[in-house]
Amino acid sequence: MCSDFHRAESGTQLLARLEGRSSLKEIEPYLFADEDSSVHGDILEFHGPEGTGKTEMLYHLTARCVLPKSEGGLEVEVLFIDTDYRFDMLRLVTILERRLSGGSGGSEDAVKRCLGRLFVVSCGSSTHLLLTLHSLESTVCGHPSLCLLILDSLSAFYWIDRANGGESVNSQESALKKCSQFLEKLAHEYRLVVFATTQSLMQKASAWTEGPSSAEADYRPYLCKAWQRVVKHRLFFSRPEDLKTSNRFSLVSHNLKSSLLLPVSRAKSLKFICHFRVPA
Amino acid sequence: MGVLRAGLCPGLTQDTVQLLRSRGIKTVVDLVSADLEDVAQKCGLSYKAGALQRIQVVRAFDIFQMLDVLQDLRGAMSQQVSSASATVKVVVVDSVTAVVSPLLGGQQREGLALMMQLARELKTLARDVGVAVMVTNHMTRDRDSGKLKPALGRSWSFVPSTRILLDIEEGAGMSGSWRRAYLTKSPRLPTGFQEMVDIGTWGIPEQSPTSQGDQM
Repeated sequence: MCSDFHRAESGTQLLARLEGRSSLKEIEPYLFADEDSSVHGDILEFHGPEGTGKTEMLYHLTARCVLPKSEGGLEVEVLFIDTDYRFDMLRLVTILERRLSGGSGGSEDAVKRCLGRLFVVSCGSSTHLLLTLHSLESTVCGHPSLCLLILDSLSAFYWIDRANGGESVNSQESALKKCSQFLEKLAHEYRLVVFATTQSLMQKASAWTEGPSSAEADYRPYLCKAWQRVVKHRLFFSRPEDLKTSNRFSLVSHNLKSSLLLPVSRAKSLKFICHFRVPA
Repeated sequence: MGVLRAGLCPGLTQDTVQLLRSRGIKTVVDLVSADLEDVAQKCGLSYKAGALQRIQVVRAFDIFQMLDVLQDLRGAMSQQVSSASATVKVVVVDSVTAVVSPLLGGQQREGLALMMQLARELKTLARDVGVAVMVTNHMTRDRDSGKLKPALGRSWSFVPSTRILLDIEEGAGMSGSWRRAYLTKSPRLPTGFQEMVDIGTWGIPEQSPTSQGDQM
């Protein structure tokens, strides 16, 4: 009954927790169509080599969230944490303009209204990221319509952390471990959906295999175990090597934490493959 | 519209304006459409010296010197809030492979960390200070498949936001100064786009390489 009595909750925190947040199940029907359970409170990881469309997918998800309902959006707020100075406002605005109907005269105000639902934060190190997440808790609390938290990318500090931590793997990973745990807490308590990108920095040291290697086969988990534990879905992004078909991207989605008691008919939704193109 | 007058831009004094007017160049449009070499010769203008003065060359032969140079630049630019004289707009690093490749290889974690620190410095320069940053990199051969790929490995491949591959075109009818440019990474355009450039004249080659005409 009073197991958490030592942790007092403020009035706003209580309201934010109990007030229902709009459903994000509609966020991307192609990616989450098979999901029985809601994606709220889940952490999803986009993993892949460079140029495979991870950041582009994040912009499309952001656009889908901030657009007004009349234009086919969800009209919710998005928090975008940028760790390697990669956020391209021009690209996001292009995507928004393309999706907004109406003449270019009217859509500038519409774009501004959409951007008013977006919060962008930059971080310079993993300690900075941890402090930022802690300080953002009050923002998340005070904005009940904030449903989506995007982290691009989580692996940006990997090599710097490893060099700064000395010989102890624990001290190398400590900041990221705390970030993962706090992200899980934020997602769970405030019913957010968290998307984080990680880069394919490592390669599996395997013998040369025939045929194109996918990001999935090549996957070598290198981030801390705490992060591996909190991820619910992992989506592997890849692109065929041939430059001629350069506009075609693929992703493979793995559901890592599904219940093992699923009936056979649902079991095949644990993993699915999706191909997509990026509009100019 | 756009009549040339003194003070319109740095270096355009009243004497220069008179000189140009005597040669029939009265407006900005006239100046821009005139042949600059011709104008310079006729008017005795020396614009080359001015142009060369705007290029600052700094030598850095290892990663620590490079990081020092970039941090000094960032410090200097952050103090100059507004200036009448030209501020740095483009930073060119030729080549980043030369300072980073000695750090890579083996099991050294420090080397990769230094490379990522350099990446962070360059990105901070581009984003916070607002300059265009361009680096050159080499190509290496993949150990397993033998194909050519950009040097400095996977971790560096995430750093640039745009990547252009330059290749020499061999074949009949190709001039030695022609190169083919491929867009291999871009945040806004579809990749795979390619274009022939003539680095001798800085333009598109006059003749298309596929033309069979006798313009050679």
